[in-house]
Amino acid sequence: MDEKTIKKIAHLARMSLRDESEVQQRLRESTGILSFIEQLQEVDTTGIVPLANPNDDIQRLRKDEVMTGEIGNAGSAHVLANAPEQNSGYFVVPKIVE
Amino acid sequence: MSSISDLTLDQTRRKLLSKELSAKDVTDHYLSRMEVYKSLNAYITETPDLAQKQAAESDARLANGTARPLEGIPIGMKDLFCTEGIRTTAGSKILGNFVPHYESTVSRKLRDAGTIMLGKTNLDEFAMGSSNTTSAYGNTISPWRRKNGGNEELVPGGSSGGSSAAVSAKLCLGATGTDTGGSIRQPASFCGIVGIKPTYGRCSRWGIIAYASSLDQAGVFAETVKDTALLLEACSGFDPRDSTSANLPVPDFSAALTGDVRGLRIGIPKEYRVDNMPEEIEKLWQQGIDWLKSAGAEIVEVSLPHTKYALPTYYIIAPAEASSNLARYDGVRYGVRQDKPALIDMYEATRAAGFGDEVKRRIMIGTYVLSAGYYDAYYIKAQQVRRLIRQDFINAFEKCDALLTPATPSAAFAIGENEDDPVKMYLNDVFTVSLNLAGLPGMSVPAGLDSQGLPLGLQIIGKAWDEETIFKVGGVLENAANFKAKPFQ
Repeated sequence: MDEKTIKKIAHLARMSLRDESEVQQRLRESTGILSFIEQLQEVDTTGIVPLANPNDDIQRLRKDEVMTGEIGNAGSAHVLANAPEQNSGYFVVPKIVE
Repeated sequence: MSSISDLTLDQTRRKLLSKELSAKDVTDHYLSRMEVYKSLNAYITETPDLAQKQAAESDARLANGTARPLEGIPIGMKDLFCTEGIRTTAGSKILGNFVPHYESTVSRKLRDAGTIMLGKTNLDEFAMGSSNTTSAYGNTISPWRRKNGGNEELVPGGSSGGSSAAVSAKLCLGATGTDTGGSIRQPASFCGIVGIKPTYGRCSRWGIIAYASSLDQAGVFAETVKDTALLLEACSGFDPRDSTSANLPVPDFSAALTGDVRGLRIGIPKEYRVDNMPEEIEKLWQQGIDWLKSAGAEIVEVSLPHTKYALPTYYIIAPAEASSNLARYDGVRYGVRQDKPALIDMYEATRAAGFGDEVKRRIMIGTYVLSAGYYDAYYIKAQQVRRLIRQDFINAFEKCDALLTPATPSAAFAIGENEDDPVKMYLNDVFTVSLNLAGLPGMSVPAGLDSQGLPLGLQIIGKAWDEETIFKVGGVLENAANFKAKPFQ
């Protein structure tokens, strides 16, 4: 890991870094945590199927049907209620196309 | 007459049913204690108006014979459970203005069982922490103090630290928690109360703000094993809205408290004798073994060979899932936005300003281990080791019915301790985290005090879907330990 990787990861995660000192801080922390998790490499996992979920034997799929859930007939008003900015039933974001 | 807050949840329930107390008496008493002990900062949001309204309804039901199972019992709700019309922050600045329009399944079930919600309890930001010091709403202070004459403020544990402090200080009779790596069992141990994390899939995750979805599980805190049995029964059960919720009947958990463990085989995992384990913890563990042996249980040594890999496995899987789950906080649909003229800049500024340090740390690690080139080496590898950890437990449970271990490697530490190195803080979960990876239920029961007079818990681990054996063993340990210590003394 180096400064360049930290900046790339922060951008992938869409979190701006305050200044160079934050880059150094994140680098230090991430390096420490990575060296801690590095010990997994010593485990022989040849042929072991990855486990994504402890109850992988009981996972269900539901029918592909439209559900309104708790929203019921209140419609988009509830969905939009916590939006920082909304207009005419839409979420509003800053301009994307220059 | 003794004070209302000297009663346990079950005792209060009986006095409400026999009309020796009213729900109004009980609720007003707890609301006034919340005022007195406000400095503990156990609640982020108090809901006294709602509580009084619910108390009036409870009194009406108690009077007309339509009382529900937990009618009139005041509880605290971890501020990670979405509550309709009541601000839900997850301990984060980014959700400082978030008011859900829906109720989580667990909080709805507890409400429908007749409980009264006193408020939303404090927690580590997005449930990431073992100290409650990562909350954007200030530290929760443990009601306990060391007996060394100093008056250092101690952590209540985390992430469900507001809930554990509130139950321990009697600012409610029970509380909800969530446990992703130990966030119920460690704070229960630090605060001298009982905390249970049931089997993954026992309680619905619907409406719980997600941290690491394959590990997150709701559970409860209370003063006694019986009290947690009553609460857990009320909030468990199948929910079609959570695809990992198990369609299994909910047992009568309090009926499992028979006091009889004769013939039960209790496994002692030898790998839990970690290096540098404090002598007090070792002694307490042996004491627990002796208690169960004299109650007629059979003690067997078992091996969980991949134990030492549980924490590193957790610190790949949990941050990976967190980085994905927390991608939704982008300043568009909810939460606090930082205005910028361009979209990407708005995302980056919103997330930089909205998340605290520990959350950023985990998002960075999670993004890294999921990124191209590292996915197989870290993430897939961790999921493979996860299967080996689960297999260890399956093998051990061929030889025993439950496991007994310490709950934490130490008693509560002071606020500010363990903050110099994130990995040091992570080691708090060394005895608890394997269960989340394997999806197993676990309980912390207060069993003794350290030399500074601080509580220490023992952990009982059960087979998947066998919380009943945990309650049975927990009840026997509780009787044997006869833990009577209280904070503020």
